[in-house]
Amino acid sequence: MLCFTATILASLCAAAPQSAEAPARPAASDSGFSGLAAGARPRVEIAWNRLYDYDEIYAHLDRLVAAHPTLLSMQVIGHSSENREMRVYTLTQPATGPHDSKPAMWVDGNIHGNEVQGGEAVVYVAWYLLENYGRVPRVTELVDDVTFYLCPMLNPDGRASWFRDAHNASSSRSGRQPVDDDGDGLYDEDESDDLDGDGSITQMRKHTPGEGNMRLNVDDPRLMEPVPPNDRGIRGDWTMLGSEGIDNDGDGRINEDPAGGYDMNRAWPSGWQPDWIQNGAGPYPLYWPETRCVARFWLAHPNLAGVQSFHNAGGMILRGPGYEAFGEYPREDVAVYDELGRDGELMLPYYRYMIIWKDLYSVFGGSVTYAYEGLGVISFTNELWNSEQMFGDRASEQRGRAANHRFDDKLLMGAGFTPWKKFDHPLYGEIEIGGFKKDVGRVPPSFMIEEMTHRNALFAIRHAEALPKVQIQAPQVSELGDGLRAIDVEFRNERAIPTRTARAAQKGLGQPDVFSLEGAGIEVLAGGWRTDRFRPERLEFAEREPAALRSERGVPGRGSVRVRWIVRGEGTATVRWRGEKAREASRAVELR
Amino acid sequence: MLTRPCVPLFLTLLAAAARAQAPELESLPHAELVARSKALGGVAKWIALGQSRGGRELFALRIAADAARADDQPAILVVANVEGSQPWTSTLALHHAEQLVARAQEPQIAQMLAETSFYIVPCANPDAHERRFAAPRTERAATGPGVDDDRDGRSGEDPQSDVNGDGQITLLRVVDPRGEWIGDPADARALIKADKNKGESGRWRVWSEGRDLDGDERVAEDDPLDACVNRNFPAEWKEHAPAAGVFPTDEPETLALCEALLQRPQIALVITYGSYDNLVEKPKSVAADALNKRVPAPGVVEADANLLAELGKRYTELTGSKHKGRPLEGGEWQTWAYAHCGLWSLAIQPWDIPLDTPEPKRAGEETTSDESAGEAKGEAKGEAKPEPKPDAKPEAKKDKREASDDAKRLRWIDANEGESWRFLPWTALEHPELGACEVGGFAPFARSEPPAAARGELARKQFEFLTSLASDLPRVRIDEFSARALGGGLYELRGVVANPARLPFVSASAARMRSLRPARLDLVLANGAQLVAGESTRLVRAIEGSGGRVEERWLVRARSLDDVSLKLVTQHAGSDQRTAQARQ
Repeated sequence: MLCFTATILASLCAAAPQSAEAPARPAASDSGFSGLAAGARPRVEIAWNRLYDYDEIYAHLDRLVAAHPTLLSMQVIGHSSENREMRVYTLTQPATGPHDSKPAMWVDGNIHGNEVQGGEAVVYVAWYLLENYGRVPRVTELVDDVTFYLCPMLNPDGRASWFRDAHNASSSRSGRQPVDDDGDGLYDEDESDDLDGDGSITQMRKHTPGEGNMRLNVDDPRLMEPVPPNDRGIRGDWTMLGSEGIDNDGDGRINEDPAGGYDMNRAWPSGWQPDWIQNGAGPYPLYWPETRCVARFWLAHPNLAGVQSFHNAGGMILRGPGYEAFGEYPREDVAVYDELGRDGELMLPYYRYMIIWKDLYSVFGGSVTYAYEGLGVISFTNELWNSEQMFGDRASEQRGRAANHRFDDKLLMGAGFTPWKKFDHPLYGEIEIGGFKKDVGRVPPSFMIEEMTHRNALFAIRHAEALPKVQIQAPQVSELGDGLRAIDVEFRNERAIPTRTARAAQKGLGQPDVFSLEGAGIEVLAGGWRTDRFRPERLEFAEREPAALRSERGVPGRGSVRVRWIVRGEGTATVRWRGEKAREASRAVELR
Repeated sequence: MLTRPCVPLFLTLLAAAARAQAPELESLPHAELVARSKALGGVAKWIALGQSRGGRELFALRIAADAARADDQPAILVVANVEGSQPWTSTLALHHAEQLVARAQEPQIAQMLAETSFYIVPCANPDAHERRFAAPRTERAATGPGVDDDRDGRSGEDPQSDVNGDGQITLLRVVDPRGEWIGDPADARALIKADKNKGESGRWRVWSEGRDLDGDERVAEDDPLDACVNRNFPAEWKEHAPAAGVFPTDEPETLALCEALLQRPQIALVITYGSYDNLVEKPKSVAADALNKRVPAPGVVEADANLLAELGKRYTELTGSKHKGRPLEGGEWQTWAYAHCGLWSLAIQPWDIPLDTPEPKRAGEETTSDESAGEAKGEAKGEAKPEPKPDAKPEAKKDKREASDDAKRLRWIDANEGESWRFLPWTALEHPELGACEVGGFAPFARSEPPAAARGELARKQFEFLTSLASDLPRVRIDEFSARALGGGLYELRGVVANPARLPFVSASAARMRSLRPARLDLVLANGAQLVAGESTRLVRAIEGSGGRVEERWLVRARSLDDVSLKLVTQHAGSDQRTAQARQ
């Protein structure tokens, strides 16, 4: 019954009116920075061998805005507890359509104050795309098709403190709103103390001959090792006394009420549990202003289609579920996660693709699990930097502190370690203080930062390349007689991510996709989804409104949806796809 | 207002007060609740809590004898009409506030207010509350963002509406083979679900009153508003349910109430007036360690449920109430106050249509406009008779099922004069989209507005129960702080913290969560007195009720016991200080 007599004057066109003009692009003679190093000279020079304080991070992005005012813009979406700006930078080519008409990739970093390098990785995403827009065709296409919302620091207060104050690699994870951690009615009154003034919170140890449980490593006396239980009366000569500090509030405990004391990545609505189940969750979901303004931003942007949240450390590409009782995600969505996650394992040596609750630990109320479970958006958390990267394939030879020492000695001339030094402690008397500085362990050394930021930024960019893009294939028109015509249209999505995830379809998140046909003088009598490519009568036809079919399931990743309309009349019809997570697509079909 | 000097007979006075109030205890528009609250003065203080989504004032009244101490003494929080569909409870809460103010000089009340503060939120959901006074009247409680309920790409295009123009939103029923409802054989005006297992097929399809404006053969299925204040609290929040809201505390009223509580750690007990109950019927209890893969099972921790049951006995004795409230749906305020904050949280349904009116002698004789009632009855009767089973007990009347609750409510309406407004008889209507159908059912607020004659007594009894709780609040004190001289200026100290009140210092829920700040016990030494053994600061997390005691001991050196004192500080159970006394 199929015949192809009708004239098809169809052309794929972007729906946005701005598409008439070709976007301004840099001249090919400009030098850029694609990652190919010979002779490359970036337009905006950023030293990728440093970590930057919060104001420097914003300053870098502001320089990028100044250099690329069309492609990059900044907005303040809220303020932190200490009144720092919460900034989101929007990156896209506006000439191909406004930012909210395109699928958006959100990339954030540094929700944990100490996990600083996520901030640099977010800046790198912007820098890399802007440097290569108009030069590297795939970058150009991506920036034309996709919007990036970039939030370099979800916790600018924690970051500022980590740079400003004495910390170790793991402290300053929280924000800075005072919390009474020990329940004594006082807030943040017993923070660690930088007793030796080296700018880091290191360790305290005391020489307790015959009364300790630790001894010095014979090869390297900087290293402490436990004395194994034995029947020979061998005891340790040293006692470890914990992190550097004194009993500031005189309650008999040391360092028990530091600044803050909560976890902004346990604050999100999906699967949220109170503090006693999930430490750090706070009194109610989105309690802290940093989290609430980001959640509101997400909710106000239904084009949000991908999320990456950069953390440190351990070399992981994490996805939900965050806790066992949730169960597993729908099979179709797991397939998408698996494809991206395995790509990530290739792009990020020493990183493993993992499920949060199963392979790491339980997290209730994480931000990326909210993005997926609450909003139906494919989302990852990358844990940047794995100490196995220090010695590459020879990592197995050295682990833990010994490896840190070896690396520090061989490649940093010992700069990362504060040697043990005597100190007169008000409670413990004569002790020794020493240990690794705050920038050892969870952040890479300067010379490995660029590789980390590049590989992780490119994984986020790879994720963005997987965002759905709907293309309408040439419609096929069949004459049915009596003035009736059937129009068969294939809507194809070559990208890995569907226009609606299975989660979104199951829970009715966001709006269904709309597949429409309209045209002056054309009457749409029936329409529906073809379920069999060879048997046109296998049609799930709509009960009403056949001219605008709605679908919860959308267009699958790397797949297509076939629609058949039965129409009467003559003229130019427009076949259109509209949805929240991809650019609108339309195609004209002449019916004569 | 009472200005007479107090008389010795407390109860007489209460009765007099109740009589004076009785004619006034009507449901009041929000503006009037605001005006009367603002006019209160005396021991009441207005506290602004923010604004509703619709821009109406959210407020609490703080009532305490001494303004300087009001925010430090143990407190009870009373919250009314957080559901929005229970406007009379706002009148009840305002009544309590007005009573406390008017009678603040009576010895018992004065004594109570010198030790206990009351925070009263008369109307926690004013936007929905106002629908009681708007046209058309509706119990619909949603005040927050709407979703596209019917997933047709349009949001809010098919709302409820007053099709028959009687000023109220009730129900539509239409004869339809897809219908799931039949008339209750006990009273055909009441609808019950057809039981297919009994061979019954549905007769009626039932809709909220409204149009089918979007032509999808569904009526009033997509209202512009969906999120409800009292489904938006974090505990047992039902993510993705339209009524639950976008995220917990997204509703401004919800957030305001959460903050009102969190910012007042002196509150030890919360009373919520609405359509829920946990006093008449003991709430579902769970073991303290009932976790499913780390996720806690919903319910009241057993020890707390037992205590609630004791308070419940007093409540039912005082009020005679049998109203068991409706089942929880998740995200309710009182659940959050208990399950996430650890506070004692009492849910009270002050009134509902009673279910215990005796069956009239001849049920079949009542007249009804419903011409099909007899048919429905006959049909149900005819089909409800199952085949006798071999193991059936001979005395069991299998076909005689109990009347539905709605049928029992109709008995009460029929038996009481002046109450017929509560049920609108099913009346034929030519509906623009449905065609022939019937409109009728229970009137909005029929199940929450007490009859005029009963209100005074109801309010008096509720007030009596409320004030009875003040003495139950945990109150800790230093029961003993004694010193035994060991010689050479060395003393052994013993401090005992006791809680004589009925309620423990914290609930079992709070104890497992560590959600409430512990009692802080500080040994204060002056003039060179020295601690020899023990901790100068102790945090005490649990103290039982009804005379529970916690003991601490220290060794100190002091020249005089006057230099040795003990300070006890709590947030919600009072504070105390004692100087050491010599003991043998």
